Order: sequence, then structure tokens, then C-alpha cells
Amino acid sequence: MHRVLLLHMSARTRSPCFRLALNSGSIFARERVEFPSPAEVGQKLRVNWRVAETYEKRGRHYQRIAIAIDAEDGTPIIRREVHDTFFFSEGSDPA
Amino acid sequence: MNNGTEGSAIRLETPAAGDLFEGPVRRLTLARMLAFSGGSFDSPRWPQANLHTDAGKAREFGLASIIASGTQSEGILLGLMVSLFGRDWHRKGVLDAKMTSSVYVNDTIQAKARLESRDVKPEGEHFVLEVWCENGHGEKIIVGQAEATLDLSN
Repeated sequence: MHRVLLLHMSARTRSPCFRLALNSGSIFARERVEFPSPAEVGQKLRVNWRVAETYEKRGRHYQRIAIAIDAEDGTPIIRREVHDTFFFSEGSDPA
Repeated sequence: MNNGTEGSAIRLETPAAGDLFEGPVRRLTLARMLAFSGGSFDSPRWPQANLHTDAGKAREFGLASIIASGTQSEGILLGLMVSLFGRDWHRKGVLDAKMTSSVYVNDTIQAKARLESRDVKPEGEHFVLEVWCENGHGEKIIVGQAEATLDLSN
């Protein structure tokens, strides 16, 4: 399976817990991703998202999110550390 | 190591530090962006309205027009890695990538990689590459580093 499909399906926006503040958006800034095992078509996978860190850099808010994709038997398929930044439309409150 | 892609500049059988590998030039059409970021095709709300699919959403946040998902551009870079390393990329590939610029509808993207080092280790032949994607103006939209280990027992 092409790895970008797995990256796409494990984006932070896919987490059922993901919510953005009103009038805000987020941008994928950088990541480190490891591919320890292949995934096959038809295989069931589990994704876990964890906000590992929040920080500010040059006046912008960032989150570092640790993302793990595992097969049902626990085989690691993908390990990601994704950094996202946030932006806000006019009149919104980033605090 | 495979022979790269149709865009590769050189043979990769005996790569040396400094060698440049190039993927094919891809055009990120609106259709491709909707297919990638519009959600499930069978959804009655397809395409989902977001920064990558809807001009109004993009304008809400001060963007002149929709921009491609960074992951979509990253996928083009991953395609070059798969072309170079085959299944070994799926087993031992590592990518560290930073998005440096936005990609707009009908921009072209080409993935490139320059070999920094190759070493034989107990687990196989280990490669480190500087990697990036360029748009049609030669601007880098992704920069980073990739590592892969070829299993020499195959």
C-alpha cells in the first residue's frame, strides 16, 4: 500500500478527538516519519494520536503530535512525529 | 537498488555521494487535489469543503486560493523513495521533511534526492539522502532528509 495513503488517513484531522477553535485552521509544518513494516490491502490497522508537546515559535502556536499506526497483532506500521501550526481568521481569538 | 523513475538523471546501480536522483514532474490539477482532500468519494457531501478543496474556505483564512495538502506533496517525494529502494523503503525507510512553501492548483512538483552517504552496516546497506520537492519555478516546497537500508540478503 502506498505510504501516503497511510499518512493521509493518520492526519491529526482524522482523530475523532480533533477539534479546531472557531475560525481557526491548522497547517502541517513538518514531520519525521518511520516506516518499519509494510501494510497490505485489506489489513486492519489502528491509529493512535497523542499531543506530545505544545510550543510557540516566532509568535506562532505549534503542536507536536506523536502518531502510531499498528497492525492488529501490534506490528508497528508507521511512527510519526508531526508538527502543526495554527492560524486564525480575522476577529478570532487564538488564546 | 532500482533504477529510479522516468525522471531519474542517472543509473543508480553504483551510486556515489553527490549523485542526483529525480522523479517525474507531476502537475497538481484541481482533480487531483479534490481526489486527495475531498474525503470519501461515496459521501453525499463530496468534496468536503476545506482549505484544499474550497476557494471560499481558503479566502476565510487569507489565502488567495486553495492550496494542496502538504501530505499530497509529501507523497510525491515518497514515490521517488519507493522507486529507489523498492520494498526496503516500506521496511526501513525514514523521512524527515519540512514544508517550506504552499502548492497551488496546476503547480508542477518534482521530487529530487541527492545521495549524502552510503555505508554497509550489519543490517544492510544504509543510505542517507538530502531530499526535496521543487515547483515549476524551481522553488523548494519541501526540504528534508531520508534514510533507507537495503537488505543485502535478497
